[in-house]
Amino acid sequence: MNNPLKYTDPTGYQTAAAPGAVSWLGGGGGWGESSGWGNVGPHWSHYMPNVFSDPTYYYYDSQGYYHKGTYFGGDEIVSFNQVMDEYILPNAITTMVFSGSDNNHYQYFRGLFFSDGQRWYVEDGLNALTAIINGAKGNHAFRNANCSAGGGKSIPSSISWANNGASIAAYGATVVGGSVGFVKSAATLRWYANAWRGNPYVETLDIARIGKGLGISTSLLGAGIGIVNFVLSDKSWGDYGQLGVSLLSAGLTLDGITAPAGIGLGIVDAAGGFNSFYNALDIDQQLYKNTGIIMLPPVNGIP
Amino acid sequence: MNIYYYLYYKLSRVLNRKGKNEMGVFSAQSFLIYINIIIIYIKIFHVTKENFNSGYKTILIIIGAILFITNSFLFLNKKRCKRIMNRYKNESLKSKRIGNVLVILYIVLTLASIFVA
Repeated sequence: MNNPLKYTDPTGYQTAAAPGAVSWLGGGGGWGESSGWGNVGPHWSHYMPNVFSDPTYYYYDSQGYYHKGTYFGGDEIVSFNQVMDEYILPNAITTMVFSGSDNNHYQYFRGLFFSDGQRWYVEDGLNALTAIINGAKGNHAFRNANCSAGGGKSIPSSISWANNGASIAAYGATVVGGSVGFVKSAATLRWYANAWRGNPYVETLDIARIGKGLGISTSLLGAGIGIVNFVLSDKSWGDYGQLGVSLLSAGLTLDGITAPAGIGLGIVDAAGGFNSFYNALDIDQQLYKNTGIIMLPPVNGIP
Repeated sequence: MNIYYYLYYKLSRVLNRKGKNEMGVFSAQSFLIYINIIIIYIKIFHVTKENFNSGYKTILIIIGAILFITNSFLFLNKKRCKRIMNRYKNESLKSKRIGNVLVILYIVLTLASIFVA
């Protein structure tokens, strides 16, 4: 039941999807879309499935269970692995279009889901392309955590990388130090080895000070975005972990002595350095929900 | 009493005792206010996980940047900072205690708003 190559459920007996999730897989090989074939309640089919050649369909119910049913009346609760083994993998399903709207609890299923053979991605028309296996949050993330091995949290956005760039520039500025001033008579920008601002000929700016200010502000802006992500999240353990790192980074940045550590922590976090930690927390949460057991990290190599 | 300056004064007493961490003080103040703005922003504009990346994020970062830049101009002015510190350093013990409680309450409520929003 628990195929480690594509399944991360630590218990091996997970049959439930995330609570509140409802979506159908049509028996003819397509995931539902509201604009297609007739509306059948909270689920739709993009096109008429071939009921007679393949009467099987799969769906999630509002209690969070996976079902396997047939158009002739059969219905049973199955694990997601079974959905993978019997439907998605044999049919080489690489594209899934989910239904739902902004205002209901199917919203997590909006958009185009597809795989490049190694990872699942989601493009919902609003967000940038995001890898969702193993890492992302929300119902679809948990479901897709079961789809294949490897992967990570969301690909850092352009803003994260801009934030990283600014932080690195800030760090560089603090290392270079000195001061810079614009020499009017020669119309040139000149660098001075010291940070002395009393130069009688030019008005100089302390590079290290500029760098520190840039580093602190980008770090705190990054922490602010981390807070937004937490507020908008489903508040899983991984989300708490991420918020903790964001606040720790911000807190360290505010003190003069620990500011470099805070800025560095922010860079590592924005670059995805803690993704495996957040993912581990999410997996622990699933394990705890299913079994009541909390997995503690190994101490001195002893699990 | 200027509440904004008073908050700066109180934060200075904690974060800038030696007088070498002016940036940390106004950054902390900016960050606290930024958290307030974030929570209000999310509520007013009904920001969700789905629509956050479609412009809301950029606007929020621009607001944050403006806040930090404005505060840096405001509080990196040594004359102004000295004036603020001189204005409040002679406050009475009672006023000091009330001020401490209110500032701590503000910080706690701000951080708590992250979890209850």
